[in-house]
Amino acid sequence: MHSLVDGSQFIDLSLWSITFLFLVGFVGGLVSGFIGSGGAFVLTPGMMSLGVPGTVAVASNMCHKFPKALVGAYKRYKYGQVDIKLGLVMAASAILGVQVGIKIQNMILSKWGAVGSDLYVSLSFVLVLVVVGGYVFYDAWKTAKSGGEEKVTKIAVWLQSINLPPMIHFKKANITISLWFTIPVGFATGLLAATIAVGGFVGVPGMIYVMGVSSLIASASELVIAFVMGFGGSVNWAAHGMVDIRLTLIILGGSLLGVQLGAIGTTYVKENMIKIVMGTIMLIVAVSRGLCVPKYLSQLGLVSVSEVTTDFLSKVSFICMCIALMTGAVIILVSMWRGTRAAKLAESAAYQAANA
Amino acid sequence: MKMQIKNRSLECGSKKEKDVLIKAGKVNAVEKDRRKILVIGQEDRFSHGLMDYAITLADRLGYDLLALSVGIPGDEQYSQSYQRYQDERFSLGAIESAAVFKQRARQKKIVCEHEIRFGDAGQIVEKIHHQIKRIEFVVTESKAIEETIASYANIPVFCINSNGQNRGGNIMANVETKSKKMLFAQTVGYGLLTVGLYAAVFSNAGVVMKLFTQGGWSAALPIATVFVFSFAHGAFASNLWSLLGISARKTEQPRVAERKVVQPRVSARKRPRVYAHINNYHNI
Repeated sequence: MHSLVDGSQFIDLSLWSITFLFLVGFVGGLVSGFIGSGGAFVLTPGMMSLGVPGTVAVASNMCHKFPKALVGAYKRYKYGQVDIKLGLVMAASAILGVQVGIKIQNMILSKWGAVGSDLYVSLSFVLVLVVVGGYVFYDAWKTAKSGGEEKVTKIAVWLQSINLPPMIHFKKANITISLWFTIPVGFATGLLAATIAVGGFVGVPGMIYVMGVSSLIASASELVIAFVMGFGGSVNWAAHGMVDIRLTLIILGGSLLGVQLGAIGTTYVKENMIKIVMGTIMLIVAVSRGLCVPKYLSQLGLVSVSEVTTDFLSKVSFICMCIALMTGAVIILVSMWRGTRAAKLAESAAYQAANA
Repeated sequence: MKMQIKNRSLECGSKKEKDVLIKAGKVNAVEKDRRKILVIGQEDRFSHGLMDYAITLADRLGYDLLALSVGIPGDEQYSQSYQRYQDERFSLGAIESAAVFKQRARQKKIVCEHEIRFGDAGQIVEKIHHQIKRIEFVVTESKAIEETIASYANIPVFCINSNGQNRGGNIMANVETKSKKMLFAQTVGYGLLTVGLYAAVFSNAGVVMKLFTQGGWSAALPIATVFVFSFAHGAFASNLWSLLGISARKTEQPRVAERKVVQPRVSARKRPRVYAHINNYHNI
């Protein structure tokens, strides 16, 4: 297999671009370590805005994603949050979803061209993120109001009660469920990963609401799925010579710091916080992608929008994505700081009581 | 977490007074009114860390101890005899562990009683808290139990980390200093390794990019590179956060989905009713 890009397509790196990629890598890593996914939706357009060709941006992003997921999964495994079996079972069906997702993409690409593909991606973003993100946010808000203790959904309890062989027991997640109910969740994760590059936006809520896994275990096990899928994808992209290792290493420099901080953060907050962060990010990203829709519709000739307006909307869309990531990061850091403070106060109270 | 416990004056006086009371056989009357610490073990065991902590605390505060072993009720899918066998096995283990606890408490002249209950820890503690009015707070080593209690009973709960065997000042300080030095050395070591790796790649960026983007089997190069970087830089990042004092909250037990099992709500306590007894056949 030969390289599909020549050397001239790889950009020259300036101090500004290095700093930008490092910081976005750090914040993306922080969010990934906490909710199991995220960051990719800003990094790919971010790199493209620096002049990196789309395919190289996707390839370099994916090549940084799997080692980041590996480090995050290892860290959270040490905290007893990862169900490896769950992650691997889900990843197996997610790979199938990715293949189908790529086929759909190619079909749309050949029929409606690059603009049609972009429109399909944006509409998928908006539809999935509004529906799933809206529900996650609503559930998080409801749970927070009722004391912050998560409850297993009725649908998960019902699915767990159906004895449809082969039944699989996931020890860490503490659930027993038929394999047939895990496949659609994994498949949807892969399908979304191939479409919008963030499969976790369906994978984590799917594990929580459909399978009855706790937010903490779901978000940690999502990192295993991300590792498996990212590794497979990276090998594929690298075999085509698409990976710009410089970009990958700069992002990795920031994201390995962030992912560990995010993983540490999960030990200080209530499980519901994972849903709050995820729901918030998903809804803001949905708005961001929604702003891109007029541009693609105009390019397809379905509506007429001036170029100035579409350019403006594209810029606002990118800013919105950055805001989504930053909002997630701020919520994580603030809740982590509060959790650390509460733990310190508790320790000092125990110490004082012991010495009284 | 409800951790606000005010320093209380020791009500039961000195140990000498306690000895006199024990000799005089009056201890039972006094003990009824003595404040208690409820100590909940991990399954049927009380770890040494938990026992030491509870005994030290009871000794300083002049409280009694009530050790509680909470068993999980038998799974209904098994036969009743198997459930009974499991309960008995749990009880035997709990009694054995509590015997050590009692003996240790006795050495410090602290009264320690033991109870075994089956069911949800939160509901049990709530019941015991109502039955025995003088329980001041709960000490446990399980985060899950701590949170269950917090959601059911209105009583302060301490969750201790029993991994730390040495709780005393100097030993602890020495260990910390030593590990901090080690941590610093490791951080510097991995940091230098990471910087070296980055320098090697970016100073030879032209050659690296040419080699790595050939496609085919050269795909192994970027994949291997990111693995090496994630090891070196990952270890550096981990040590750096620890060095900065940002480390995971230590818990005895990870917060897993077990708490998510739908729990029955606390049943409303029966109100006492007034009965007028006329004869054996008529109750009004």
